[in-house]
Amino acid sequence: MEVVTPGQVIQSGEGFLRGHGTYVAHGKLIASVAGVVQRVNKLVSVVPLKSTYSGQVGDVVVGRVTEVGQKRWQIDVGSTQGAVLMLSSVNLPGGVQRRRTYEDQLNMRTLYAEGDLVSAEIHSFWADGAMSIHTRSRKYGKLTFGVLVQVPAVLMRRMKEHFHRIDEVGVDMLLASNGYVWLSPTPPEGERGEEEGGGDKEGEGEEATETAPWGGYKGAVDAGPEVRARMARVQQSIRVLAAQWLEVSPEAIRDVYEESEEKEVEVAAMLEDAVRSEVTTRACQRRDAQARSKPDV
Amino acid sequence: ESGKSHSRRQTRMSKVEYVDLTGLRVDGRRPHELRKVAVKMNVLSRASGSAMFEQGNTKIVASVFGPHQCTNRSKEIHDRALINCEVVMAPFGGAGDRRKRAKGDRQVGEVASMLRQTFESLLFCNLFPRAQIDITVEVLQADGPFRAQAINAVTLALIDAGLPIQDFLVACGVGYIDGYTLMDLNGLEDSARGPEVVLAYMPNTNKLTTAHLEPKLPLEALGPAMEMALEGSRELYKLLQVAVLEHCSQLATARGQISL
Repeated sequence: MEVVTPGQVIQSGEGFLRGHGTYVAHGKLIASVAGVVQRVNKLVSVVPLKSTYSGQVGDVVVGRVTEVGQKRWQIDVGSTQGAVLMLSSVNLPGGVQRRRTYEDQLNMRTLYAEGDLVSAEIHSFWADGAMSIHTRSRKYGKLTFGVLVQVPAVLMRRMKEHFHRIDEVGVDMLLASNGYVWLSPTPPEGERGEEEGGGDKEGEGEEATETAPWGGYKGAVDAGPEVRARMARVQQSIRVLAAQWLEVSPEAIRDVYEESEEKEVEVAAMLEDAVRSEVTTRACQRRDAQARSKPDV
Repeated sequence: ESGKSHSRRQTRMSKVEYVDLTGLRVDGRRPHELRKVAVKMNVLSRASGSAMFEQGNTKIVASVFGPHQCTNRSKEIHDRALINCEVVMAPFGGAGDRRKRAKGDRQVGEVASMLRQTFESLLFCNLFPRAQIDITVEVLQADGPFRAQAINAVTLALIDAGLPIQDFLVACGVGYIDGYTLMDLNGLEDSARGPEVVLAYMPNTNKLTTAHLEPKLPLEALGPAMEMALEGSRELYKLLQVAVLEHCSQLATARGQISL
């Protein structure tokens, strides 16, 4: 593994392709960031250890509404520019498919107002690099009852499924690619129904208003002290992983959660320097096993 | 009569010897020696990138926030990032003199403006259209002039943030007192109010981006002073590069990208 610093010349053969984190000067390939060199066939790039989130089409993101504009919302997802959510990219209440009218424009705030937290998927990119996101699925929408934990986006890996449920703990997790993790208590059996894409078990018919997105419940969810204590432990597990610069994956979160319970560590003490390494031994083992199984580049 | 000369000797002021007979400076260094350097990266968890740079007793923390959405729509530039730079002197920092610094102190503002211009050309701003990058430099302790140290701290913070730059930017200051060219002035030497040359240098590209001289210096002393500043910058680059490589290896190991 090659680690390079800015200004350093990268060894490259003839006919290389310049990737991210590099630039060409005087016919030589030079690193512009400090990081690990990645070579894929002829493409040479340098991956920096830290960077601002830059998404890819299909990523699930969580963001906060900063502006309600003309037929669009601006959402802060922690990227170089705010993400744009067009009015045409949301599902209207009632699940109705129709052309957006002027009234819809005036009523935008009833859907999402400034300060609301929203889950969405990246649809495309504008010419200047800004993201265009959409909530055109029942899984996405306003997040209402839960906790947000922010970790550096580089610690999140691309995964097939961003929505996870830990049954034993009773917590639903949304691991967004931009490093925003949304935790909410698992709703009781009757109110679920959005994951399979099927209808609500209560049989509300085609009324999509009754089905809330993952983490955004319309009714009140009874979260007593036990549930809250468990959610606090999940939160701390995520923060500990970020503090130790480990990948924040559902398996790693579970590892830290279980280990902290086994070692009877108090939730409030989990982030202390001495304690952090104690509760991440299993997660570190998992990381080492993964690194060993990966073929050497 | 002997009484008169005796009293004359008593009223004469003692002079500080900036370089004594054995060639040592007030803190025991030789004229071409740097003070001890310490580097810590990623010191602020909430910033995109940060670094603490210490040179002798001078301690500076630089932090970078961004690139992010421009806070002021009217100021955003359609094809590149806007760079903001702020220099803050901690009230306990004491740059030697105990003067009360008014808000918007011109000297501090001038350093901020110099930093902004310097790093605007170093960063690849065109990769972040309509974005904003905020750089904050906090001078916790100033034992002597801090212009060069601020540049070094900002370079490290930008590297920690993963922002693309052409090369390291290292700076070193050189003073000229009593005919001696002295590298890396400390607070006592700075109080002699002699001239100081600061050069900001890109070590791999071998280019100078900034040269600053204040106040005046005899022309024949300029060449040797600049040579010494370049020598100091190259020396500093070695130290900074080692610190960055160590920090990167640490993070990469934690992530499992490198197996040691």
